[in-house]
Amino acid sequence: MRVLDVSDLPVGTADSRALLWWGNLGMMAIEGTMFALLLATYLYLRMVNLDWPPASVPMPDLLLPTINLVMLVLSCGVMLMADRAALRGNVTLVRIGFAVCVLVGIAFLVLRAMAMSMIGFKWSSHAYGSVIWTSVGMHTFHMIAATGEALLLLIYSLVRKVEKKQLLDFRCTAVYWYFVTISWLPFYVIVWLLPHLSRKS
Amino acid sequence: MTLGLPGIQSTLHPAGPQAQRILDLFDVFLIVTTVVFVIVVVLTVAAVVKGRRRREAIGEDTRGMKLAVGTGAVLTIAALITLLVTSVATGRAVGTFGGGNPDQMEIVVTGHQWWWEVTYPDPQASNTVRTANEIHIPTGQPILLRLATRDVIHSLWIPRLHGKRDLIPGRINKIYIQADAPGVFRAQCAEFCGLQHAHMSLVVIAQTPGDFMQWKIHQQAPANDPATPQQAHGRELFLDLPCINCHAVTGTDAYATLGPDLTHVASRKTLAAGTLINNHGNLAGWVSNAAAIKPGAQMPPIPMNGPELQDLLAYLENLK
Amino acid sequence: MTEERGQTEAAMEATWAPARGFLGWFTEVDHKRIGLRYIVTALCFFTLGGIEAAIMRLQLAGPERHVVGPDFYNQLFTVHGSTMMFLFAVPVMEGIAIYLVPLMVGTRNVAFPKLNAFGYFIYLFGGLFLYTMFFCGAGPDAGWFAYTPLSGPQFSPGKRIDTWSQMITYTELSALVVSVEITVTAFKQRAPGMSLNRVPLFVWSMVVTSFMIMFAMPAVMVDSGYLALDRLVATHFFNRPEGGDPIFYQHLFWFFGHPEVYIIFIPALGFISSIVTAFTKRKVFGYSVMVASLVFTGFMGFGLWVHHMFATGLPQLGQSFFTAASMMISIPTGVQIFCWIGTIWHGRLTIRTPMLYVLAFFFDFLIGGLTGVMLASVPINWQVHDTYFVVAHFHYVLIAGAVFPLFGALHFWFPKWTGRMYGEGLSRVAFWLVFIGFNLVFFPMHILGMIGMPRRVYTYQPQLGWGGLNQLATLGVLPLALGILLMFVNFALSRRRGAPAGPNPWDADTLEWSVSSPPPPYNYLHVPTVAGGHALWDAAPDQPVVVGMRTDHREVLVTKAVDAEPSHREELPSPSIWPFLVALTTGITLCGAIFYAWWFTMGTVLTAFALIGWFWPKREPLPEAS
Repeated sequence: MRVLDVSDLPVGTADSRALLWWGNLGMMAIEGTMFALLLATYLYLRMVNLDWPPASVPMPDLLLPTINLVMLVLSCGVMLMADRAALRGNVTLVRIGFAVCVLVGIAFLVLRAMAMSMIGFKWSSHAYGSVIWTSVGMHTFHMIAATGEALLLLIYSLVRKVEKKQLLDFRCTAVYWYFVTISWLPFYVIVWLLPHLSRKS
Repeated sequence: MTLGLPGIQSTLHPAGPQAQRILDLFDVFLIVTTVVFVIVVVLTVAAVVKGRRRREAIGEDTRGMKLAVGTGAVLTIAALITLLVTSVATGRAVGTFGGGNPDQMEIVVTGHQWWWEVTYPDPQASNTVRTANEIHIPTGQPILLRLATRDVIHSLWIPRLHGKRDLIPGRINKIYIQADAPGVFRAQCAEFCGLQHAHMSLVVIAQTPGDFMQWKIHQQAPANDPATPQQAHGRELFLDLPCINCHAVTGTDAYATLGPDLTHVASRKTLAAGTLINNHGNLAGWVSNAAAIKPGAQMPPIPMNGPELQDLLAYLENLK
Repeated sequence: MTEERGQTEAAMEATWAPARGFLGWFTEVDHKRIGLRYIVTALCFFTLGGIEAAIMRLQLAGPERHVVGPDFYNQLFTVHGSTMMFLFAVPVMEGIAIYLVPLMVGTRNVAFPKLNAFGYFIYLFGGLFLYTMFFCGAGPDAGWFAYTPLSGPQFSPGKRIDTWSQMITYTELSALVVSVEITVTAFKQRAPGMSLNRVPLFVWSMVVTSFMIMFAMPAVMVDSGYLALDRLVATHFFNRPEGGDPIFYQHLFWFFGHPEVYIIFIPALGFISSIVTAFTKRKVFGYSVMVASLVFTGFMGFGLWVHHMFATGLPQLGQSFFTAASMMISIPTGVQIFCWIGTIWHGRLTIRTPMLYVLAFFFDFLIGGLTGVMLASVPINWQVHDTYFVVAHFHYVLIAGAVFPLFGALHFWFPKWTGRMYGEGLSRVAFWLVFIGFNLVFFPMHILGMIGMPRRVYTYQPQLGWGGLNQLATLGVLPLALGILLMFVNFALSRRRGAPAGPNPWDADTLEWSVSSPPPPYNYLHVPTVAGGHALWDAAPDQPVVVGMRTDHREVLVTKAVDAEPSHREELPSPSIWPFLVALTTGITLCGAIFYAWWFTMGTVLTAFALIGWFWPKREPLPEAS
């Protein structure tokens, strides 16, 4: 009987060949579509309205959101470092990276809550309010999920020994972190910048 | 009364140039698709016969078969391009029909759950005609319909004159219709609009331009005054009862616009958006308990005794 | 040798043992069991949807009948449409894919077994939720596409539409997780040697379907989500006076809704390729053309949605583009039909019931496809849109195009799933009843539409002349229902009493036919290798098998995406209760939110805890004995 012996092949991997890695990509494709549809909603509603944003919407204050954005983008660098460290199996560095990012995540959520409390309209004020609040809400939901995931993995890595195959979880969380950051960029522009740049009326 | 003819709402009996053009296009499509259907079915049957006789399958994809499948694909594409070109040409002709005439006659059709308000605007407000569930048009000329809605989306469909066009909140859609000869064409709401979607129809009545002008001048006149004491009592009842919360009769204190304008209600062919023929018995039933006839209809039952009902009917039936 | 094999088998039986007992029903992660659950559940919903349809036909059998009133009728057609689209057609295709894709590519389970279990439970809860509300008299009543503003807070107060929008969320969640599983399984778990050009056409069709799900389903979730927000927390997405737009609802809905038709139809194309191959004893003509056609259809499916909106009065030029696109999508399907005809022509054809259903597909789907070309034409569409012509068209597309091949597939794989043959004679009687009944019910509807009958009317007036054809359509329900009933009876009887099937009763070509019927929990004792596009027909006499995988862990072999060379091994999870619990908390969140908005937040927190339970790694097992 001819055979193909695979006993030498590794069990589990932390790199992009892993099943979970591919599943993670699939999930991000779905969520990415959802964010794209939110953007499409904004653009469509802008097209069919002559008064956009509505005259009652105050000019947003850019300070907090911009700090938030810069902080989030910089945290991706830290995540990237943790990501690389996970690939090499350096658990200490992974812990440090995740700890920093969890702090950034919490700070981000606090600053976002402050920024949204000052935005000057509600989701029920008009369609503009609906799409802005829903976009921000969706992203906040993802941000909470990403921060929570990072926090749980951090706790896990502190109380239990991290096996080689669990490093993949850290890496998937890192990729998710990049995704949540990148998907915010267009929304930063439409929520905070566009009212300053172009106002239809 | 021609409301009862089969075919009164059929796309197969066009009565205007646009419905005719669309039917011609449909015929082209029907011929081409029937030919395709027959060819493919014949091929399938032939293949089944061949395949069942074969003792050994031919495993490889032969050149001959590649050629055959390739030819099939090319013919499919050719047929589709033909259909596409004819369709776009017809679409353009039907879509641009009637446009560009500055003194076009305009009619505003407004959808309500579940009836049609029809208005003939006039620069002089008192000459504006308001009616319901009936569109009168003169023959032989394109008429512009402006479509609006008070509530949900409806769709106006007069199959014998043209395809359908939606009535959408916040928009005014435009459509031109033209009837070649006098006649009565049934039309119906074609977009599901709630409980009584099935009973939201109307009639289009095409008349010679002369007859149409006569009709319009009559409709512009204010409501008939009561001619008998019974009718006079009927009018008093009408003005006292909840009727005036929704209905208008020109020349009286009733001017609400939630329900159909009743100034010339007796001149109309149907009641309740084509649900009933407009006669004494039906009117009596409708006025006393509309929801029993058309469940969900928004007109509440009006509490009246027998003589009161008769007086009210006498008044309404005089509103010719 | 045999003793060694026996030992391996015993070890594998122990490692892959299915979850047993009452609790086992909630913890099972075997793709075959979950796949069958999907299929059976979907067929139950199919029966419910069919009963609703039959009641509607009774109501319409003559003018001004009073079998049901308008309120119940409107619920009937809404629930019928929603059931058939969301609770039957998509899930049944997914169920078959969940069962077959891992077997066809030669692996032991789907990539994410726990997610798979979750997907089933959330689908089940969605269906139960809809029907609970329906039986309580609160069935949705605004049509299966629930256009705003009719479905909005002003014109549909109460919980009916909320039920509908949440049911969408449940079922789409399920479809989305399945799409990810199928894609990853098909790309990463194929048996060594099964390079992309050797993947069975059915697997290709499910890959294309899964990609379409990933990009189309989010649209309907977003759309029904906006609707729910408009209704529950007073946003204004579709409220024109406050800057929203009801037409945007239609754009989003059909951006999903048109691909949805292909999500239902493309798996059926896969069934046909499998059936035609087995019954002609040759490969399907033009493999690469077939694959290209599937992929092309998948892309084009996203470019047609506006042809559902021609009557809204959009600009002329844009409409012509969508006409062209809608017509061009018939090219790849036409090419596939030509390829199958060529296959039959050059094959050695035997006709059994699965093949009869395929031939019925050729005949009737063709009609649906050709009326589809008519609907793509803007002027014709203006006339027949929203009439019984359209009702006839989409039933020809969905029943003849997807349900006929599905019935064929149920017969074709019945021996694999149960280990026994169905009764051929009875199945042929059932087939002819279904075929004749279907055409009797739906063909007259083309004419009804042409002579003016709009869809979604609960009655019509006698003088319109629609009575006769409607009566004919209603009469057709009898043979159709009887045929379907006979089919179910046949399955029920044959499941226990049918002749034993053996591993490969059709002498078919794909890997699932190489293992016993039904397959063991681990599918393959040794992961197979593949030497050609038709694994069993092209196998060398001594085709190698994979050895060296652990028998004491649930291991699968992961291979490279393109050429399927072995890459590494991965361990899959054992039975677990967490998928059920997460589905339960998610279900409570979604259904609670429509009664009390804060439930959404509370339920989300609850779900988060359940998710932690799901993902918290188990304690490492004891060190290996060796």
